[in-house]
Amino acid sequence: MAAGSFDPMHQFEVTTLVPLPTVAGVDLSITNSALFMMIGAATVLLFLFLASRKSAMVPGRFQSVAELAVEGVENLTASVIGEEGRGFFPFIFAIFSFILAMNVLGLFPFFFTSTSQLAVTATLAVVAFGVVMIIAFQRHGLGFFKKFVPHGAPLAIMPLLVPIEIISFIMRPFTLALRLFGNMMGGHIVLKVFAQFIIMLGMVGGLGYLGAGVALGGAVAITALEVLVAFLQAFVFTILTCIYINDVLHLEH
Amino acid sequence: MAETASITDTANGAAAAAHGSGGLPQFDLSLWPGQIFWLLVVFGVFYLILDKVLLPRISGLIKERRQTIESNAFEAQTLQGEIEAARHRADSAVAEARARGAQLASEARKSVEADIAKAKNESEASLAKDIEAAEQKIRDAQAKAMESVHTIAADVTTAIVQKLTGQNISGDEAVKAAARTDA
Repeated sequence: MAAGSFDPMHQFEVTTLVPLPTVAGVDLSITNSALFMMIGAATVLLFLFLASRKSAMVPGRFQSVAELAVEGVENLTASVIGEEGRGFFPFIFAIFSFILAMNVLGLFPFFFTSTSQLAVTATLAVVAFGVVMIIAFQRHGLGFFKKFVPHGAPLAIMPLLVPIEIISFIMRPFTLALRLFGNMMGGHIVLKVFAQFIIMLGMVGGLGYLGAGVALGGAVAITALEVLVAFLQAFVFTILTCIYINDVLHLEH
Repeated sequence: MAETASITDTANGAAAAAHGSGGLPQFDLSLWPGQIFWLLVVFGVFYLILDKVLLPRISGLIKERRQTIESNAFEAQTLQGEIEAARHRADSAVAEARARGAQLASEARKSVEADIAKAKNESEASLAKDIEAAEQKIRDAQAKAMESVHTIAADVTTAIVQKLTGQNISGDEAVKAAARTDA
């Protein structure tokens, strides 16, 4: 028996699959993490490609799903950011579908969950926040910093209020990254622990079988919960990105 | 259990040793650059394909469908308007035909009535003439009959006088006498 299989952290090990040279200090080897990013992106692209290939006026089942997803995300973007938000829709859709694909793929046994890697969620958060910052400075230039001085607040509490505003703004990418990372990692650890219980209690025998059954039920229930979490966290990341974009577009609010 | 735990621990230790740090593999910073690189590459390509190819295609499909539905609805509305107009035309044609029919009927009735009146007048006129002629005949016959009565009276007077007196009287006297008795 592989000892590592009983370690709930083993599933998060990044292993090299295709060794590639290190360029400028960056190891370009394709790891399991990189592979599942590619599989996630490819799955979404392939699905959208196949679903829209026929371009039927009366959509089939897959085309309906694809159109529903695209229209849903577009309407979500427009409802949070307003009509001008439709311009950001491709980016929002890319963020949502990419995270969702990686989250859901990770739920398959033996599949790697790229979004359980802090490196991945942090990079996604930095990319999303980078877009927010670019929009902010493009729109308002240095006037963007007025955002940190709340309207109509008494001057006396400004020394307190402004640092709070700045800190809460700077914390945004961190919370974005940690929320997704924590949820995905936590869920997978719990799943693994329940799965271990099944085997451990099963090996005990006797009353252990009963316990193994309970653990199995728990594992099934948590798998269902994790499906929900996979969708929810992709959605939360997306809608927060929308809200942050809206924040810097409309400083008055 | 204890044995399993120790095995796990050694495995952990080995993994930790391999990566040069303890705890979660996610916090092993030596693994970050490669993942960040690949994430940026994959996400960049993913975003470009979505933005340039797939999303415009799907959005275009949705828009096209919406436009088709709208134009069809508009066409349907136009057709409905045309139907309404056609019905209106048909209605007015029916009304016109009905009016013309009524007019024709009344004209026909008038001409028939005129014919009847004419025929009646003609027949009445000819009847009156016939009646007049018949009355004239009757009057002639009456006058002739009266003439005969006078002659007969004169003859009867002559005969009576001869029988009673044995003398003959002239015709004139007899006529006078008869006329006197008449009176």
